Amino acid sequence: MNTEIRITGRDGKGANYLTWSPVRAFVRLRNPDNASPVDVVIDNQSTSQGGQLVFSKTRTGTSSPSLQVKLKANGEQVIFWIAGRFGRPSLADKDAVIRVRRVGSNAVLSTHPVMVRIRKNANALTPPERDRFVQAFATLNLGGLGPFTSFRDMHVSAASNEAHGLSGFLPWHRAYLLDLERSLQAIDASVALPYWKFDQPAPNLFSLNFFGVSDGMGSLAFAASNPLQLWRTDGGQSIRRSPDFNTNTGRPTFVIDEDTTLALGFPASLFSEFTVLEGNPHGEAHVSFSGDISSIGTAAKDPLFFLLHTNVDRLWAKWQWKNKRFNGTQTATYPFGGAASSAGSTRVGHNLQDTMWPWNQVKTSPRPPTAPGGDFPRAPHASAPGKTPRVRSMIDFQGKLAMTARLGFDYDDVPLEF
Amino acid sequence: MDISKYRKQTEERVKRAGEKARRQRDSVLRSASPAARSTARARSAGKTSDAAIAIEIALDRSKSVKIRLQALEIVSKTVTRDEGLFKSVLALLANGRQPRLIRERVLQMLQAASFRSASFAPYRADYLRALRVLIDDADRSLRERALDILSLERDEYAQRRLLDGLASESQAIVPPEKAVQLLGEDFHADHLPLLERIVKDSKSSSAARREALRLMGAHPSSSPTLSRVLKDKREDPNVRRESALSLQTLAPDQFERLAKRIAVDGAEDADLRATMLTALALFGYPADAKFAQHVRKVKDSARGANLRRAAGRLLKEDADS
Repeated sequence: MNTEIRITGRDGKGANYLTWSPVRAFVRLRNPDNASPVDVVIDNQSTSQGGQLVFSKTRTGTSSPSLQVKLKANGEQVIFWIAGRFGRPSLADKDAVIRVRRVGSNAVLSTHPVMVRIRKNANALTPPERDRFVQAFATLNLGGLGPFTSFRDMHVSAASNEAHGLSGFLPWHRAYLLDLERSLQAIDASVALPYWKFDQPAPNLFSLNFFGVSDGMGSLAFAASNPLQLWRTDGGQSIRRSPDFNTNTGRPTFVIDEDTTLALGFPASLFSEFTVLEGNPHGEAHVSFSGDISSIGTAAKDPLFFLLHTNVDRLWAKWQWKNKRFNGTQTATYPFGGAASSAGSTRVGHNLQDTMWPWNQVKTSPRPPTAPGGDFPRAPHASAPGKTPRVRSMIDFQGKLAMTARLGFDYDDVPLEF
Repeated sequence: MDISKYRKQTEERVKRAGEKARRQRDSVLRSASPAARSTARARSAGKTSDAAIAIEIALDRSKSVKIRLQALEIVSKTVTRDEGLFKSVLALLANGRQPRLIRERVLQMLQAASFRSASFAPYRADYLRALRVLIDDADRSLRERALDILSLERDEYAQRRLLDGLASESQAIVPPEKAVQLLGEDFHADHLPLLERIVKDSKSSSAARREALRLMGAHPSSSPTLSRVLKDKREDPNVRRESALSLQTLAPDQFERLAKRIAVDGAEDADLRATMLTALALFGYPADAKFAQHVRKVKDSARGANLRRAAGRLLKEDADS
């Protein structure tokens, strides 16, 4: 007698990648001993190693590290919900193992490995996590010949009004990062975008084995086995970056810290006041270096740009969680609720109902004349945002209000609360 | 982790941070002299904003640098909303008699503001004009920062000045390796003879030669020079490394031959060998059985961790297995 578990969102290799957001799963009995139903417990195979999981009977119900269910001998599927346990993400692929045990005998009826795949602080990655990410990123770039070129071409001066200076700054960059992350996961499914927590020293990030050490003039040194030394953009240019701060012990001098950022607009905590973070800490983090990352038109040449923006996105996600801002139709969550054609709207691309360039493939004014990258990539673990994301698709990123809105990523320090 | 407790802690910390930021802001604004407030009122047609008071504090030389920098933080939030405010900030940057820290902060602040492209657009031309003047400033860090920004903008004036400096030392505004690096932001084919000259000139610094070789990877006719430098075992390994990476872009087949030879040559620099193996692995060059055998020997016997790791990656094996 054994059991079978299936979790929605499996990829082509049958693997599951979970976040803090519950997804539906099924368990059923196979090869029963007799016609009697069997009580089983679903739990974590190990509570000391690997990512940890929680289970619940309903999507929004209380979750716990174990769940008891009754399985019928006829093999009827029993639905349950599974998510990563906040604070216990995986360190490696398939290190979170679901175990099904028979109540009473404790016989193990089946195990099912998954990964709790979460965006983490880049400075705290283990060497294997770091190396997997670096390898995937370098592969995407492929010395300037890989698909990364599209991402570089999306963030240029000619397109800056699509993504900067107005309300859509945060949603557009959230979509941009998610597009990149899914492309990395197509190379190595165990990878999630890490973030550069720029209000703290990050010596592990600015190291030879990770994002390089500046020689003071703007060129970067990498370990001889680090594939990022081969990073090229714009027809063969390597990364140019020189920090204004000591990357071993310091952090950008003028960047406001996380708590001060989350307090922007306090106590009303309106999105329109929070988005001032575009200047500080976002802009200040960019200009805490000389080199490519310090200008809109060239910033995406430097892979550090994506870790900087993942942190900006994390700050937005944390602000959303703290202030319960997931309903895009509320102006406190997002100030422009209509489309570009509505009364009181703002520039196209920055209203809640607007599609976002370049994924909408619109090349007529006022949109830019090119639209690199094609459709937004699909992912097995999340059906949102579809091939043409709208601003509104980026708000309920955890699927807190609508299960189908879930985008399939989470941060290590931003929980989901129903 | 107890999420309720985590929420409570977060809310308390954020509340304290918000209150602290407000207190600091109020303290800075209170430090404005009556004259400063009066000027702010006059400039704002009677509607005095915090930013208008703050810019007067930032301009007030009797205030400490610390207070002036704090005042600039208040200004930074709205600098692009008011033309008068923007002009005052630019004037502060241009004034060579102002403290270096203040001017550096202003430049950085303007650069950060430029990320809000929609609101910055009306001021862009003035900003770039101010940067061009800064190229000749007495302060080196301001000169270099201004040049860096202009190079990123592909500014023709800045490019001309860099080229003039490479042609004649007396006109150099930055060291030659920096000039080459900045010119690389907008590499033109007609820069190639200059780069070739730098590579061939024995008096060129290793840094200048590396920068030149790096840029040569963008030009098809550079292959012979790149190949020659890579083959020359008397060359600095770091210089050879740049040649190799540029050659990979231009002539992948030639790179493959040379890289494989270097990778398994025990007499070659270990880091250079590791870089060759890393490149061969990343670009997916096929490894026939004989080459794979050589690489396995490298993985099993090399002392350097980087070399073992690179060999393992090529063989798709863990470095220590």
